[in-house]
Amino acid sequence: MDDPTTVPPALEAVGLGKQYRGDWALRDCDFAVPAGRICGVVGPNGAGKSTLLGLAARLLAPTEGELRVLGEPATAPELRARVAYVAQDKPLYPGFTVAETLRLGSELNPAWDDEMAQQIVEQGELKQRARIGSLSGGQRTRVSLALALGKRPDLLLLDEPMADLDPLARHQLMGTLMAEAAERGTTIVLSSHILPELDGVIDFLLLVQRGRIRLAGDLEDILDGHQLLTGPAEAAGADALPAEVLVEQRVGGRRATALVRTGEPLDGPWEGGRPGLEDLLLGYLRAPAATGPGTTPGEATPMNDEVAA
Amino acid sequence: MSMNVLTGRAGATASASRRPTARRVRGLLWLTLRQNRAVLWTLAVLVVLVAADLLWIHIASRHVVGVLRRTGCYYPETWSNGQCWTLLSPINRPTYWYVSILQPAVTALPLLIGVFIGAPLLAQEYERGTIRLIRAQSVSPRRWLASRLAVPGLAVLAATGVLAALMSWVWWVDIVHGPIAFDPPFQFFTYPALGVAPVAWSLFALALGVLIGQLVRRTLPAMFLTGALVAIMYGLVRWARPYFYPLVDQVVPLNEAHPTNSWLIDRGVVMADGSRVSTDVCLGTVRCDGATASWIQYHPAAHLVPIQLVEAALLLVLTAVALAVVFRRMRP
Repeated sequence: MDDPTTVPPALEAVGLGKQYRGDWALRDCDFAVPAGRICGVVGPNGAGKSTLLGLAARLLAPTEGELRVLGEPATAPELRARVAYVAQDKPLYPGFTVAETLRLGSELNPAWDDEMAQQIVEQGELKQRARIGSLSGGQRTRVSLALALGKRPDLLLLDEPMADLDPLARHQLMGTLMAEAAERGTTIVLSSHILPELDGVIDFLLLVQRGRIRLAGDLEDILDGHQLLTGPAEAAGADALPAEVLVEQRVGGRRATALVRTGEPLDGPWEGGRPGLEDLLLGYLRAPAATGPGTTPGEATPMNDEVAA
Repeated sequence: MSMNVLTGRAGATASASRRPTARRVRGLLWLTLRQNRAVLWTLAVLVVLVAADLLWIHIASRHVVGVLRRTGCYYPETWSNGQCWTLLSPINRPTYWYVSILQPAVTALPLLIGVFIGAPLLAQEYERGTIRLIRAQSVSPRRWLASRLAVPGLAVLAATGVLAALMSWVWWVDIVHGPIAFDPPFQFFTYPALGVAPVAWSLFALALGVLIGQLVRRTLPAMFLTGALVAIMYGLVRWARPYFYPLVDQVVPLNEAHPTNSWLIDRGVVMADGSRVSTDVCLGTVRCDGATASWIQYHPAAHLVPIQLVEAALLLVLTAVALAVVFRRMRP
């Protein structure tokens, strides 16, 4: 792994915000994703995940704040060759064949790795002469990923990459991505609202909710810094747990569960445990008003307008 | 193919066999040629068909004229003779093709180019999201845009250039100097099919279509809007056309016609006191009864070239403005 003091972060946002026609899709975002990590951008639909990736992929210009990509301002032309991006709708030319689409990648990218791209396509048993327009959604995703990986990027931005893949293809492509990341130290930032697809894959987490970053940090550190408590229903109440650590609590039947933002044991009839990725995310997503460590105190009030993704 | 070879070698052999043949055209040029394949083929077929048609028109009318000359039937005075009339009649078909089919078709060509080539060019990239695919490649979006526009732009320039040259040639040799066709250059379907007009109008319509497509970002609305705007623009230019070059203003003997092939803009009578009255005012009144002469304002046939050049310059300036806006709007 590279020395973090010399390698600039893959993504670094300071006060980053993006407004669409008066609505803020993303606001006051401050975070840094270190290079070489596999970062999951998670959050409900419309939280601002796609906006965040679009800003990093220079498809969008920020309304306020700054975003640095691989140490450069996001607008630096040198980044074109170093950053690959797969949009959520996987745009490709429908009249092109698979071979022509890969040739597009080879003609427009100086560092093109044809073998890599061909391998991904062949793994899906796609015919070279098949028209993109005749492929299924999952097959188009595969071609899009081949195009992105063939570019040999330093930063790979994937917006909902696995949504329309079958489990086998998902497994295969995740394996390819992980191998690529391990071999070349590629930073991968992928958004998803399908949590199981991220478990065991990501080692860095950005939780986006209503246009704000709720959590940002190393996944293990975040999980270690939280506890999932269970106890009798009577234990839950307005002030049963200290408000500054309580993320969310709910009562189901005679049992109460609570997610707290501390690794230290708490007083009371609670049994604590380290939450899983899914417990953590669901806890935060159910409690939209709470603040997280990734946010500053001033932004505790969530946005009321529904924001575009 | 190499499907049953080991996977590792399959890729290598496939790329090895592909490279020498397919790599003649590279980079952005390859992409734009591939993207414009249909456009290029359509234009090529169009040029070939129209050129063949024009060649046939030329040969057919030459043949008829040759027959007329040999039989002494060339001059209109002889056409009352039944035999001469029979020999003359075959010229109607090529002339009809030229005046009633090719001229309207070439007149409509800029509109079709704007609607079917210009408008979808960027609108489709935005509509299908492929502009984001391009933005994700290592090439600068403005360089891609330059290439994306240059290929169809040059193709339209070449195709309309060839068509305009052939149309003008046949018009000059076989129609306006032919024995029977009467086709003054300033007519509605004649002027836009002559000289530089088809080229300038096609380039303008193409650029306008591209700009509309970029602004609207939806293919069908962009096509409709481009069609409407090209038609409106044509109406405006046609209305302003007489003033692109100074008119000839002449006093002629009463009721003398304006010269052959010229474009009459206004006419009237000169009264005994030297004042001029337009013909429109005279109709059905006695105001013009004491007229001493006529006056006419017109463009002689010789004004065709300067008027076309002024019009083409105006259109090319607008084309450049449209393209500049398109480039400025494409974020680098």
